[in-house]
Amino acid sequence: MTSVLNNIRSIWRRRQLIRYFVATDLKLIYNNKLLGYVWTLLDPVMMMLVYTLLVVVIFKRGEPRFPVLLFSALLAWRWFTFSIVGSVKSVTGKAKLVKSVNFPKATLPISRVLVGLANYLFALIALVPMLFAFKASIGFQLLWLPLLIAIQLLFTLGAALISAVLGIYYRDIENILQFSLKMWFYLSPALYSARDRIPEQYLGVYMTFNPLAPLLESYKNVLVRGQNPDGYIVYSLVWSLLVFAAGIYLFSVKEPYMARDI
Amino acid sequence: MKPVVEVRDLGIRFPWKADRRRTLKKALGDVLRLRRKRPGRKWVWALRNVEFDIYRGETLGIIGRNGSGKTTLLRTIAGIYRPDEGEINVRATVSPLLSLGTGFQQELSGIDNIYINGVLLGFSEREIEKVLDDIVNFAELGDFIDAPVKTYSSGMTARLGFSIAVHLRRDVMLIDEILGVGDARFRKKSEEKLKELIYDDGRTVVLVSHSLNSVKRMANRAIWIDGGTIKSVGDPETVINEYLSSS
Repeated sequence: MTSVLNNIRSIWRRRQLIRYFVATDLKLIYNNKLLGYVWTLLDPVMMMLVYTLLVVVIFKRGEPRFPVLLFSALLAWRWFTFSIVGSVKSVTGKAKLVKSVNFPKATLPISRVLVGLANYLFALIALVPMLFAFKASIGFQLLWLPLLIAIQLLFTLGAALISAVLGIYYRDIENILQFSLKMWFYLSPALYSARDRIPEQYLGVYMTFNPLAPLLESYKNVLVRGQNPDGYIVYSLVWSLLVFAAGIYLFSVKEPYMARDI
Repeated sequence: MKPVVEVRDLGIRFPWKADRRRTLKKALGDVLRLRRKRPGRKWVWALRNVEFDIYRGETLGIIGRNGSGKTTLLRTIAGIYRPDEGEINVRATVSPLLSLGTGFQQELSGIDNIYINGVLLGFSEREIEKVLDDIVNFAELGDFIDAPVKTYSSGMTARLGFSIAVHLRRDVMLIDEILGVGDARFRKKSEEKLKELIYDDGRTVVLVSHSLNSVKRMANRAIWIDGGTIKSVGDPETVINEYLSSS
């Protein structure tokens, strides 16, 4: 336990390093300002177009305002996958550095998550015109947004720390991860609304055991529907705390041997 | 006088290469076949029963063949590896000399990289700013300092790396095979700079080198390690002669 606390303290002491890692990554992405911005948006926009074509045009399904509902969920989802996929190789990709300097390795996945957060916040700007175009009901419910972001940040940090450890010890994790994330995406309410599609008797299980489900529904509620966050968001918060604690603990236990094991 | 670094019965081991990293597939296979115990991991000792002290102000040379454990020892002093046996007490701040250009971001400028490298080594922005001009001048990069590092020649990259390392330093400097930086003129300049740090500044230096000459010239004590254990400690001249006559 003391090693966990020491670890948190040493990460906090080196927060300047995290700032530098994040700034470096952002500089690389946004070096060419406009192109960089368009580039990070390209992926979620393309995904939105593909799914809109599939769901609305081909299958003639989807609720009203489907594209903007989907997009507001997709941006948050992208932040999550960007962080997790990047964290898996965050330590192994810096093997040379890890073997030459003694620094808190947790700064690597943490920086990745924060870069994802910055991208997410930039992308929100692009969401604004869409909200108006689709006549979203924008209200004071938007004030919930920072809380939702905080819950997701905590959850993603925990998951990123765990992914970074797995990435060191299981080198085939990346293939499995791609597939699992796809599955997770379809099991989360991005392409549909949970309360429409999930049978009443399963809704509780669905919302309780997928921490991202209440989060995505809540993003759609506060950004597009002008409603309060989904009541199940409390479960997401509990999950976030658990996963964050588990991530910090696992990483702290493994950290002393990382330089040797990569 | 208490030593700044105390190494006692130190042992560092590595997983045998073949099972260094498992795959999920294998782990899952073990579970499915109900194999409770994984076959015990095989270990290789990179260092064992290593014991010595480092005193303030001395320059300690470490010599030995490739794979004898020199770099592992240096990394352990730097806190990168944790001892598997014995212990190591470090009563000073230690700065590793990054092998030249480690951690450089190719797309960013030399200035940016000075800051990144400095922060990585644990220095604050203010401390870096104080020596920024010295670093830039010593590296002799001129206007290139504002250009992306990817446009540098390998000599320029090495010069910048060396310059950062000697200007942003701690009580104990760890140097791994770096005395061959840049062209002949810069080599001479870098060796002079090191000597200045050692003699005028009273820095404690641990020097790992294949170049027996530079150990002889700079160190006032030497350690010869072979196969992960200490063969001989003492006056550089004597240790080097023992090392030479063994092969």
